[in-house]
Amino acid sequence: MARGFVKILEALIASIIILSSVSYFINIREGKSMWNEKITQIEAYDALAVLDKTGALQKAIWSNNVSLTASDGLIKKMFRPMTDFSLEVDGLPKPIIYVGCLCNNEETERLRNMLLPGSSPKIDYFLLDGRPIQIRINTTDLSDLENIDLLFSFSKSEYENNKDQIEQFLRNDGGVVLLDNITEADLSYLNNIGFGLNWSSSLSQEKNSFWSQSPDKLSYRISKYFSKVPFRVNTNFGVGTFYIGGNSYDIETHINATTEWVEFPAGSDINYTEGELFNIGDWTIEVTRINANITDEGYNSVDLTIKDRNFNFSIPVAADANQITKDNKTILYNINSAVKVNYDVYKGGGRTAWVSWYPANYSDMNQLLKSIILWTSGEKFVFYSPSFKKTEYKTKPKTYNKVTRLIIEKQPYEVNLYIWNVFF
Amino acid sequence: MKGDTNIEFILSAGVFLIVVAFLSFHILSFVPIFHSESRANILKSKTFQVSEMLIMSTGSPQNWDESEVTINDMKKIGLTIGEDYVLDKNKIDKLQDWCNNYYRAVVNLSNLDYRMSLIINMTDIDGNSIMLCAPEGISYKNKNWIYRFAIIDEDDNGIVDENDKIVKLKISVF
Repeated sequence: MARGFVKILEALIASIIILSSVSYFINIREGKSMWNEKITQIEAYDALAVLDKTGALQKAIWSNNVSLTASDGLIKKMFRPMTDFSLEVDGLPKPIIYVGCLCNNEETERLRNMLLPGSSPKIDYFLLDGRPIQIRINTTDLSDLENIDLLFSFSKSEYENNKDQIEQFLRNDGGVVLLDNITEADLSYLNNIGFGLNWSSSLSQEKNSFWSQSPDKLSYRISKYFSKVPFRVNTNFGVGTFYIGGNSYDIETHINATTEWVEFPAGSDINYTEGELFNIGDWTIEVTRINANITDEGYNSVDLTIKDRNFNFSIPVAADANQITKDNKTILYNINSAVKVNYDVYKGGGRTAWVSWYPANYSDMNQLLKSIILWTSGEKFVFYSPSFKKTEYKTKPKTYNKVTRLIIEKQPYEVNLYIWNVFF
Repeated sequence: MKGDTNIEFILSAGVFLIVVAFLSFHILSFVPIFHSESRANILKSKTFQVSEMLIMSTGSPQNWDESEVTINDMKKIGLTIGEDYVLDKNKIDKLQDWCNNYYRAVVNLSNLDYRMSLIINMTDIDGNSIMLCAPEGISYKNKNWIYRFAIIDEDDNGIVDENDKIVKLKISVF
């Protein structure tokens, strides 16, 4: 009898073993279907493709016109009501760059005059390939870093004294610019922040040019900006003065009933209108924009652009200072670097730029400084986000679909569309 | 002792058969679910194929919008002018006409088998109808839809600009 139960038990155990082993091989599970995600991605990619083909997307980005993404805008109408999206641009400078100057009020005003002297309320921007860019400069005490794209200082000691906050700012993909002479003793704390500078035994020279015109070098990219962004000359009192290669030049703006023009040299009776070129020595200067009362009374100015990427800059040589070795991140150089940048300082990003000191009225260097600010402030921005606040670094929920389209225009850039369902 | 052996054998065989039966039913119970899932995936895949065909190809012959081309000459439906996403206005009009008169032929040209049906609903961005290709009296509920966007070359010049109309295609194979 006992043997009989043992056999039954054997059969039971055998069945369980078979069941278990067969279940292992026949592991029946319903795989998660990715169709809904893929269909949403296809829809989003189509939307980018047709907006690209019609030119509506580029036009909106180029003019910073948000009507495309407004509640009754084209993109809103394209997607189903229960979806939301954000649109980010990667590879173009921000349309509005918020600069926090770690400065006193006099220094903040100096920086404003270096970048856009005599700027009127109506023309507080300059054009980069026809795209308006604003640089908004305010004094900061580091308490408002969430609202700032770029930190600027004329004094290295500001960075030495506020290392932790600046490091955190860089971790959040911020940009930091220092315009000051530096000595070997300054390198340790500047490099702790992320400037990436090394000391050279060679003495620096006055004449500097762009390090490399090879497209894989950053100096190529910044020199490209340089040849496209203007410096502004305040002509509100008739004649305005600018400095190129350390020499001063006078220019005058004029107006009649129909047109605006500049006279260069002032009093020479040689006239130029917008878009025309003149030469100073070997260098070609474009009259990019004239504002002689037609558009904004009381704020006369002219925007001029040095077009040459092989331009020679004159930077005063300081004793025992600025002996920074050159490498792939050098922008201006002679024997040493005179302007050097660094990027991806921390895992989250972060860009730094060091510019050796120069007089504030050097127009050519101010044109370069503007180019450096364009690059250092990040070259990416949120074009539209439904809940975007500058105080938050969130522009999308945790779950979303992303599609990217590369747009080749005056400058290639990527448009990233993030799309998600409002209700899950 | 003989009786013991039979009972043992019967019980053992019974236990074994119950387990095998349980296993078999368990496996078989999945068949309808997987069949239904598989069919849904086939339909979704076909919907995607049709949508790609419409907005990424000219159709064959390429010039099928011309009046002399009949539905019998057609090998494949496609609406573009030769550029992805850019649709030919005349092809849309002609497809609408064929859908109204030869719906099953249009379904066949879309590379679908005889058991399948197709809905193509083309509207502008504001929802105004441009083309509707669907069997009569069909319900729009419980369908798998794919939404695509394209542009109609309104001025028929082969150049896409801001004046050309962006359209939405809502497509389902069922």
